[in-house]
Formats: sequence, structure tokens, C-alpha cells
Amino acid sequence: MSGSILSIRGLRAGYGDFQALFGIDVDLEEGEVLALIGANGAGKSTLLKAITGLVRCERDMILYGGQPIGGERPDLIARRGIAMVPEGRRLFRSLSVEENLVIGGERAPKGEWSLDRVYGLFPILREKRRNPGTALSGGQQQMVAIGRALMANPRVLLFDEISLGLAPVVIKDIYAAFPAIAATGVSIVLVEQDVVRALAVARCFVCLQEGRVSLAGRPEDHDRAAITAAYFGAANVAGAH
Amino acid sequence: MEWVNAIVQGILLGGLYALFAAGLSLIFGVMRLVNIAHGDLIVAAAYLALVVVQVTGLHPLASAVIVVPLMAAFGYVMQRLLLNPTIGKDLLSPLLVTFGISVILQNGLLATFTADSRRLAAGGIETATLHVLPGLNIGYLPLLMFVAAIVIIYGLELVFSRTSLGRAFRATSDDPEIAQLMMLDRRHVFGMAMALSAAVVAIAGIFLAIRTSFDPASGPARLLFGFEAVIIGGLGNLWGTLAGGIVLGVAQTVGAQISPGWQILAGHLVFFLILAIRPRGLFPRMD
Repeated sequence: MSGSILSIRGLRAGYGDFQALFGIDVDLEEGEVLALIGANGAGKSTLLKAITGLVRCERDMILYGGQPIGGERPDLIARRGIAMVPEGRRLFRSLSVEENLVIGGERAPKGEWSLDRVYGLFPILREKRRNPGTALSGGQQQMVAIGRALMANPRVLLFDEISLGLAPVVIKDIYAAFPAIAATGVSIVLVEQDVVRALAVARCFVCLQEGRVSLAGRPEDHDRAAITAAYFGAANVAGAH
Repeated sequence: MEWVNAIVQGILLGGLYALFAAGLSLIFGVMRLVNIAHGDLIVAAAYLALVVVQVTGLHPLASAVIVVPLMAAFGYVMQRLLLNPTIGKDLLSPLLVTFGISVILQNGLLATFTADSRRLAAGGIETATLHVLPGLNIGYLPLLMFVAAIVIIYGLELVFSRTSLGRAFRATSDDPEIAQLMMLDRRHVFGMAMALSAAVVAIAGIFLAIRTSFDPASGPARLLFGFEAVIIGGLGNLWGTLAGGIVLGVAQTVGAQISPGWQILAGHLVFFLILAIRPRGLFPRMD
């Protein structure tokens, strides 16, 4: 049947008493770019945190290459080949730009991505490699965060809100690197508030609303109104008219 | 010349205090843990050196080849078994566990070695001195301790700034959650930090045993001196601990020069003074 590298099955997860996800099903095909869209608080970041092990869930709710990995320790999940560019970049502030990149890859298998390849993708980082990671501009920090995740030579790459808080011209620069990343065959989940941008680069999408999947499929199969309704909730859209 | 001598002796004494402080600072830097048992670990290392010297007949300084790895292994196991399960939830629980370890170590040493004070004879190095100027003598042992402190702190700085382990320490300190996504097992990283701290503790314990007599209750005072040196120097700065140790050492020897009863008190007063003027220490690196 399907060549899913990552399958989410009935995922329920949350923080303490607060439940954020109520039975999510998502499939990520090998080499595919999947856009995960939804309003603030829809549960997008929680889903990524569950995949990376930062939020607990039951073992068989997440399958990676057919194997259950839900609730495994984050470092072990990372070793399996799942990397994340976290929301807010989260660079290590006492590490230089180059050290931030090196630490992303030094325990990972050798592969497509190396320090030189990352510098090739983002030449400005080579110039700034001795600077502390947090001394860079927002856009440059985002490049470091992306490079750090690439250095792990992951099979699955999760992007959490990479355009949040950045100027449009900077966002364009970041997305300019996207085709080169996708071309390596890595499977990508892209969490993005900018729906238009996300749907432009993704082959398929999943829309979350209040912790449930409200719409899924290929962007070309759904019109703008259906996606908007799934994004905000049908009642809200009706009320706005 | 008496005063110059007091200051020089204080600077050299600062080396020992820096050795007490470096391991403490390292642990706080990596995992925000205040190790109350630190002083008792130093004393335990001193007793371990005593046993090793008695059993093997090695020179006390040479006993380091056995005491250092044993203490490091003990530190790693202690971290994995006792401290890791409590870390990350709040600051108080690991602190209480180290307090418990402190009590157990003190009483364990008391039960094993009695309350008699002990000392490690090092074949005359304790008393040998260099006559630099009339009235200014520098002891071999204090000089050796001072040089050892510089070498060890330099070595620790190299580990932190140049090695993969050092990057893991810094990353875990900066953002423990994201550090896990770098394939770092936090439990192991913390274990390695405690092992490194305990290795420094081992050296400090051997020097303590040669320099002064010690007994099972000597730990808390060593913790206090180490802690004061860390705070004076500034949190998260290993060279700062050397500066802090020197300030504390000089305050004590100058205090003793004024009146013997003032030795310890003068150190504490200078500590409070610096805390009042610069609450984050002289050279802080951490928020």
C-alpha cells in the first residue's frame, strides 16, 4: 500500500491537564512536502512536538517507517532521522554560528549535508561563522536553525513557523532555499501560518482546527473558501459574511 | 614585608579555593544544580587518597592516578542514579537530594574512619619552602596547588570551548529541550559533567589531605569556601572562580595578619561586601 515514512494514528496529546490534540491522523509520504496549516492554538506545534518526543504520547500513535516510536526519548527519535527547525529558532546562545551547525550533525550519519553544503546554501553564514548564533539578524538566525537541522542528514524534516516574525523580503530569501532542500529527497512537514506560501510549496496539506483535522488533501482539489472554512471553522466564516 | 607575605600566601591559597570552586561552578553552569555535597565529596576524596596511599604505598600526589578515575566514576553513577531522576522538575528537589548525599557521606565516613582527624604525609613537600626575599617565603605545596588550579581551569576551559563534550555541555545549559533534538541524551551529558566535577574534586581532596588535617565533618566549610569563590568570581565563569578564590584567600590571610581570630571572618566579610556591591560577582558570564 502506501509508502508513508511517517504515519500519525489517532494521536491524542497535550500538556498536563490541557489536551491539545484529539485523535489526529496524518500520513507523510516519502520525499513529499506536507503543509500543516491552521489558526493559532489549532495544535500544529503540539503535533510536531509529539513527533519529536518533546510531548508525550502513546507508542503506537506515531509510526516511523512502520515502527511505533510515539513517546520515545527525543534524542533517540532524533537518532532515527527526524530533525526539527523549532519555532522561534532556539539557537544555542553560547555557541558560535559554526558550532550551532556542527552540533546538529556531529552525532548524525554522514550524508548529503555537510558544513560546506550548508554554507553553500546560505553563504552569509560562512562570513558570520565565528559570531555567536544569537548576534545575527532574525533571518540569518533562521538560516542557522535550518542549517542545524539539515546537518543531521534527516529523513524527515519538520519546519515550525519559519517565517514567523520575519520581514517579507527575508521570508522570500528563506523560501528560496526550499527547493534545494526538498530536492535531496527529504520528507518535509511545513507548519506555517501563511497559508498561501505553504500551499505554494506543498504537494498536499492537512488543516487543523481545535486539535482535530478539519480538511486534508491536495491544494488543487479544494477551493479557497473550503480551506478558509477549515482554517477558521465554518461557523466563524458564516458569521463574518 | 609581613603584609606582602600575607598577600602572597593568600593568592596561593586562592588556588586551593579555586579547585574547591571549579567543580561546583561547572555543575551549576551545566545543570543549574547547587551541589550541597560538594565539600563532603572533597573530604571523601581525601579519605580515598589516604586509603590508596596506605594500600599501594604510592606518593600522595601519585595517588591521583587512582583517586581521580574512581571519583569520576562515582560522580557519574551518583548523577545517573540519584540526581537525574530529580532534575528538571524544580530547583529544590535535586538540592535536597545533594543535602541527603552530604549527610550520608559525612556519617559514612564517620562510621568507617572515626572522628579522628587525619593527614596525608607527602614526604616533606608540605614544609619545603623557597626563600624569595627576606621575610617572603613561598611553600612548594601552595605553589604547586596554585599551578595545578591554573592548569586544571585552563584544561576545563579547553574542554568547554573546543570539544564535542564541551559543546554538549553548553548546548544543554542554554536550552535543555532543544539540546535533546541534537541527539544528546541529557542523562549522559549530566553524568559526564558530574564525572568531570568529581575528577576536579579528587585533585582538591588530595591537596586538602596533604595541606591540613581533616575529619569527616570538614566538608561543609570546604563547600562554603568553594561557594564563596564561585559567587565572588561570577557564575558560569571558570577563570572567575580563580579570581574569586584569590580574593577569598587574600582576605583570609590579611585578616589573619590583623588578628588570628579574623582569618575566616574576614573572608566572609569580603564575600558579603562583594555581594552587596556586585551581586552577580566580579566577572559574571551567566544571567
